[in-house]
Amino acid sequence: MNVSNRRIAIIGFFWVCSILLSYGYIIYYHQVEGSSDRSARDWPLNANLSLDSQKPTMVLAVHPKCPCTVATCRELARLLLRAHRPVKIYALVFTPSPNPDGEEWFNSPTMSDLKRVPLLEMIKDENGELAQSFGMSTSGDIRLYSSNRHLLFAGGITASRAHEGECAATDKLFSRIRGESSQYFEYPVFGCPITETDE
Amino acid sequence: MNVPTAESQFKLQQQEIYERTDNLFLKLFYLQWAAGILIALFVSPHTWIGASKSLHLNLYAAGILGSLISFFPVYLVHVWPGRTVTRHVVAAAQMLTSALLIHLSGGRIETHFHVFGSLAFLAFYRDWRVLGTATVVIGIDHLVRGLLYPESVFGVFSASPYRALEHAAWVIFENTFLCIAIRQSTQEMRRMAQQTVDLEQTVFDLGAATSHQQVFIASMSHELRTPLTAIIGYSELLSEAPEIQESDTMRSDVDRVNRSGKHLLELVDSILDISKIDSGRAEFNFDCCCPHRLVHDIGQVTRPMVTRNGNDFQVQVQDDLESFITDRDKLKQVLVQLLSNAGKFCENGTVTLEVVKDPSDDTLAFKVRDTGIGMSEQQMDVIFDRFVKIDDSVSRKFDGVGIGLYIAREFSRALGGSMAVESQLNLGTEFTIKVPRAGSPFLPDDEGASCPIG
Repeated sequence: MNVSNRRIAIIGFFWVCSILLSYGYIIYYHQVEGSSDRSARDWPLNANLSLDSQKPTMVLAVHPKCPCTVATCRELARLLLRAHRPVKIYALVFTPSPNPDGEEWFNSPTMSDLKRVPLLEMIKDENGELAQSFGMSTSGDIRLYSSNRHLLFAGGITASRAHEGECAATDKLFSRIRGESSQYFEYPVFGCPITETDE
Repeated sequence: MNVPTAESQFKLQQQEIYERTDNLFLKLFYLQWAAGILIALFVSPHTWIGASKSLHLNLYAAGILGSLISFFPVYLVHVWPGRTVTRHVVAAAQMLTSALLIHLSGGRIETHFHVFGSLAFLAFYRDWRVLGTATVVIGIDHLVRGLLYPESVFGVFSASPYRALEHAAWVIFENTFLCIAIRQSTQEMRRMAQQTVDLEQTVFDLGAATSHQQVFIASMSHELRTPLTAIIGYSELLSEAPEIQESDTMRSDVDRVNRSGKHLLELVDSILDISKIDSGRAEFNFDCCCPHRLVHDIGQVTRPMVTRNGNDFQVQVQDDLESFITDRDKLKQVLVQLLSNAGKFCENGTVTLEVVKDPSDDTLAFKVRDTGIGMSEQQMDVIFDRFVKIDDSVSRKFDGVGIGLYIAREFSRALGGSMAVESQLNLGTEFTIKVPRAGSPFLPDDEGASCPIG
């Protein structure tokens, strides 16, 4: 077909520009941090959960429908298998109240992957109130506390939204679970907001 | 005719490969676009804020960005198939598709294999530069994201910064072996192109030689026929002279001259027929033919030669035979040849010419049957070969140069039919020629009329 070089060049130019813009936006979207209040550096006194006095305690905020949290669950499972250390883990599963879907609310790929995380205790968190008491309002947010109540780690363990793979956060969390470091470390969290007020 | 050079032949093959691979990627882009949407629907259809949901950005990315990525290479494959810019755009788009699918699948490690699979597909072009474009696109993707969002690049800021180098190493590893394979394949293509050109040149030379040979044969046949006709004619005139008639010796000599002339003329005609058959220039004149009249004419011509060895000549023609379309002269020549052979190889026996209709395939079967010396299986294998006589003992006893049956079979095929033979040693032989009744659109309306024997 007789198509001029000029037409192809023009189309190609717009093609490149449109892809760059679209792709750039997608990358930006995946890098938008979720909100997370890390001002409190100790186990909250009003938390309705018990801190383990023998080993580190981890609290994980989960929105059961958030697809991005699948990556967090898989990374966490891999990390715990490597760490070979006991950890008390609470998964605070956001539950709307009232819950019109009943048990169907918890039927999702995210929940399937969450159940594969070892040592994990699932707790239904009505309207995310329990998670908010720990300053967590984004699905995938993690808090790791030492047995003496100090906050060791706060944030997510994925490099971007819904992106599996090791990153700086997984290394830091790993070292703190194994007791190799007790220095506080925080990292951005990427996931769906748990509460509507956090849009 | 201009025989192409090896380089032009190679370029032609390359172009075919480029266009064929372009079409392969055309289908692949459609497939990947659909797969991207399915992945987004399955993995991340919605994003949530509390109890409220909305369509996930990934779904828009799969549909819109997926379309954007695929549109330009698909457009180029349609308008510029096989061009250099097309396959480089295809390479770039394929790598962008890999990046998109990795995003849509949530960065699954398994999805990264799409990159390696894509490089292997791009190697189908057998152009190493295309792999370069693909690798550059991957590199730019990692570089830009590394600059803007270093955390998003796998391995950066991790405890093992060499993971990024490991990724690059695997890509380079695959590219190295693909480039080696491309180079070897290209060399093989060049060798094949050279062989193809050499073969075409040989065929061309042979064709030219054959053409010269055919022209030579045609002209020599004419040059030979003219004096032979004179020899035959004058020998016949001479045989009628009273002086010749009175002397047995002289009459015998003149007869020998006449027979030799006719034999030579027959040989020249046969050689000319072979030449026309080989060159595809044998002329045929298809027309309506009455089988009864044909058989009658053949019988009159061949009866003397068939019965000369004490043979009984029988003609059996099915009563309800209708006219059919054929080249009467060629069919007559074939049947005369077969009857001549039958009379030659049979003594004090029976030679039968039978004509029947085969309604199953709408053909007429002409059968020439004798109760003569017959043939073995080995002899039947070679009787249709040119200039082959059955064996030395036969050739010493029976004259002929061994091309009559070859010509007869070729003519049978040219008439749209076939020739078959069955034989048993010392029991006889049967040749069957089948010709289609209506092998031509020129069959006249009075096909149903039977021709009376005149």
